[in-house]
Amino acid sequence: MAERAPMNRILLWGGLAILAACLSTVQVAGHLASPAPAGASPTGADWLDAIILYHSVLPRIAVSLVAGAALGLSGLLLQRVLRNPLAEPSTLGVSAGAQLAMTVGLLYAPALMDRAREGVALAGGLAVVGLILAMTWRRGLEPVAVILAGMMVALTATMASAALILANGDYLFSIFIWGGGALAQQSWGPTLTIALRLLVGLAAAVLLMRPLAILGLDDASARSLGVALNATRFAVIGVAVWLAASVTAEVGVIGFVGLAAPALAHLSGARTQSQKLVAAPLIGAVLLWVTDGLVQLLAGANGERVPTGAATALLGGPLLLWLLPRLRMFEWPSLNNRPAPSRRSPHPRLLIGVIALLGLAAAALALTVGYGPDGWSLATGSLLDRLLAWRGPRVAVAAAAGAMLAAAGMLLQRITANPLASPEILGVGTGSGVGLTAALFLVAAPGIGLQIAASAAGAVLMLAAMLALSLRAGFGPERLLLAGIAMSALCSAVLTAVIATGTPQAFTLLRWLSGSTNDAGPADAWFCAGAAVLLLAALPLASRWLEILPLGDVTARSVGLPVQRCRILLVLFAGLLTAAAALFVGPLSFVGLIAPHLARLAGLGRATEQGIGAVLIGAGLMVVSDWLARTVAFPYQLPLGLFAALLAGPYLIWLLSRASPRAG
Amino acid sequence: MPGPDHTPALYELDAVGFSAAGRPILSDLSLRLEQGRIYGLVGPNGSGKSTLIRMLARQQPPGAGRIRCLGTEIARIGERDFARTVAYMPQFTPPAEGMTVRELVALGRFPWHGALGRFGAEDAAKVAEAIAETNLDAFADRLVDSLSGGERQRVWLAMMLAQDTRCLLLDEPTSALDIASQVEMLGLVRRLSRARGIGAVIVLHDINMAARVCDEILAMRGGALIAQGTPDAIMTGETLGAIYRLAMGIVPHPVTGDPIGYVL
Repeated sequence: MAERAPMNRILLWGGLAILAACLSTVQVAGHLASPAPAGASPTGADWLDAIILYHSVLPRIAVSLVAGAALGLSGLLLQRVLRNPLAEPSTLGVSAGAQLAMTVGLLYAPALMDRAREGVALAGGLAVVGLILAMTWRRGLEPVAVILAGMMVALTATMASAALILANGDYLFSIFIWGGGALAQQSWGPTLTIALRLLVGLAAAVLLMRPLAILGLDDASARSLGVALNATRFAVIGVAVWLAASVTAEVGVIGFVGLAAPALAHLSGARTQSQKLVAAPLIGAVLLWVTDGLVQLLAGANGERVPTGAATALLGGPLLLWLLPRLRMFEWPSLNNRPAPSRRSPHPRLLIGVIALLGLAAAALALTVGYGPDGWSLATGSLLDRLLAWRGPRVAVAAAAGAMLAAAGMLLQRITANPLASPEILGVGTGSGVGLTAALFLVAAPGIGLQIAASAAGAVLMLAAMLALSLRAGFGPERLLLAGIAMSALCSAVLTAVIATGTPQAFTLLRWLSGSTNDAGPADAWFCAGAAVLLLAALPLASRWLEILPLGDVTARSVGLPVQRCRILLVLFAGLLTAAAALFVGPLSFVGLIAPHLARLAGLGRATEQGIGAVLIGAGLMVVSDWLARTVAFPYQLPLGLFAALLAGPYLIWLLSRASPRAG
Repeated sequence: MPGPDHTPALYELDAVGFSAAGRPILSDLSLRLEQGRIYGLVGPNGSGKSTLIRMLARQQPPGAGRIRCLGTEIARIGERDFARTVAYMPQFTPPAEGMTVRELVALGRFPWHGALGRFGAEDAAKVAEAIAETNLDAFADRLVDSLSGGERQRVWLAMMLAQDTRCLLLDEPTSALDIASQVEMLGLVRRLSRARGIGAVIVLHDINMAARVCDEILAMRGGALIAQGTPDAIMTGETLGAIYRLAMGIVPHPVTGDPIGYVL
């Protein structure tokens, strides 16, 4: 059986390639349909068909192949050089940085964009990667820290782009669609550009093959084998970023291929460096080719609204999920180096008190200080009374949502014993978005009760799927994260596809995605705060379970914990918390990831203390973010998650870089 | 409660078998382990020792046959009841991130107080006793991660003692320890087992170490029990040769006179 597996996988990829070829043939045939009768001169319509064929249909097929291959190669290089199975152009923020640079360019320097599109994209991508490397250099580019920093920066860049798009209204709505990666072509130019970059990248990768193989070892071994460590590393990263940025410049953000192609190559049995170097670009190319074929097939007569870049996850996500449990030998040793253990505070209660005071101060700030047409103002007395009706609900919603997300993050990190688990990363937030989408489309005007039920159902389903995967034998933390990212990408693809339809529901979803408490009224506030109080009050009951579960199933079972039952209960709980919060502040706040880490790094180690600390930090963080979101760009409302990431991210990275790695 | 004249066996195995991916790992194993005795489980790699001890610990259900613990089928015992009877230390103990020694040891009281019950005076006393018995008093408030390998292994032993069980199951508790820590660890297990009158099953690679601490040795090969007996009965060149498929001999210990095995 084991011997036949690689054969099966070769068949799988061969089958997909044939499918893609068939789809392409159908498209090409559509334009060759009527062979001109012998002797008759070609009609105008025939000429038009021929022109479309040579200048749109064929280039589109070619560009999907070269872009997929370039992204596959870029992901492979980044994963290798950073020794990080989750590194790729999207998780490292290359695509997001390039997109932000281009959005800014389009708005403020259109002339520059016209001349140096690729340069702008490359500058954005390099700036983001440089930032991430600088932040995590002192941690020795440790995978967990790099991914945390990368996702934070990528999220910030995406949010900033979304904010610019929202602030400029319909004018830039097409950028959003482009942001999803639209492969429609008018010439061979982009294909040739990317193909050239791909060839250069491949040549560089072949030249650097030996140093690359050694870079897979740890730094000390690499240095002792005489590799110029940093020079090689920067050269490889430069090539990878260049590939990804040029793809972004030519066809937009195409997520997921860079992550999935190398992982799928590995899962399909490519073991050596040279095998992977061949397999990853090929798989990337096939993946994008098939996806684009399907997108065109499904778009049919309505004209196409679903960006291919978003749809890659629809195909690649399930593929990755299907392959993940089917392979042994897939654990990278790297992620097992957890973040270094933090010191424990000798006075946890005092610390919690200080955090609570800071949270209260944040609430007071958000309630009293505002920024209006006349500049900053401090509201007191009767003015405050009038403003409270507006500001009170917002602050309450923000605090309650932040608290619930933080609690959900703490639960998930402890259930899975995985420092990177959080509602955002395991796709729970986007899962609740899919539930919400279903409610919006199936029911004309769903009430709040139905909305929350639908998004909770989405979140719980998502978590249940993750958990079912993680319970399989040998499903380590990396696989769980990969599965979570695949699921998350899948759900985002669904959301993007729906948003791209441009219906009123789409705008509702776009607003939801960017997370805003702008419309929060008293009813929302009561509901959100009530949910938070009810759910959080139940949390201390589980504190003993949460103390034991991080030690793993074996230990938990041997001290008599009913492991399955605990898991199911806690997962339901985390799903409810996430859904209730995400309904009001969107799925991308990052508070669920950051707050538990902040509490832990601040010195709160035990389950109860960490839980209380995380809840308070989450609430405070969200209140301050909300305040900044409404004041910084007045009269515009910026996305909430942007500030949550901006506020806590750098502090988290600083804390991570300060703690010394565990000895031995 | 055991009857006045008839004590049930700690474990009774009846035709127990297990196979993974079509390959038999254990087949048709029947044996009886008495209470209060120390059993050493030896055998070459892949002989099924770890699988057997994981089944005894109920970490893995048997593929065939029945296992009874103190007269009751183990699948029918509730989680916490089972954890009050049997404590298990896996081959690789997980990192106890951010936990102090006392907190980790206190987790051993979970089967007694449960998720919501009060951590009472008796629990605190048992934890203090376990820490004292494993000579960890000086480390009680240190982080577990900051201890050496031997000290960390003692912490996990203390957690098992706090569990206050009738039996300890240890899967290669000495594999990562230096010789002094090995002697200390196993000496501790033997002393505590005697003092508390509880049984123990220990998977060991070092046959001489097993002969030193165990009352009885169970030797496995290829998923079957090939020899069982006191150390004196097992420690012959012939039996050791059959276990490890290696020419081995025995010399008497120059001081104690106990048999010591060596490779020819």
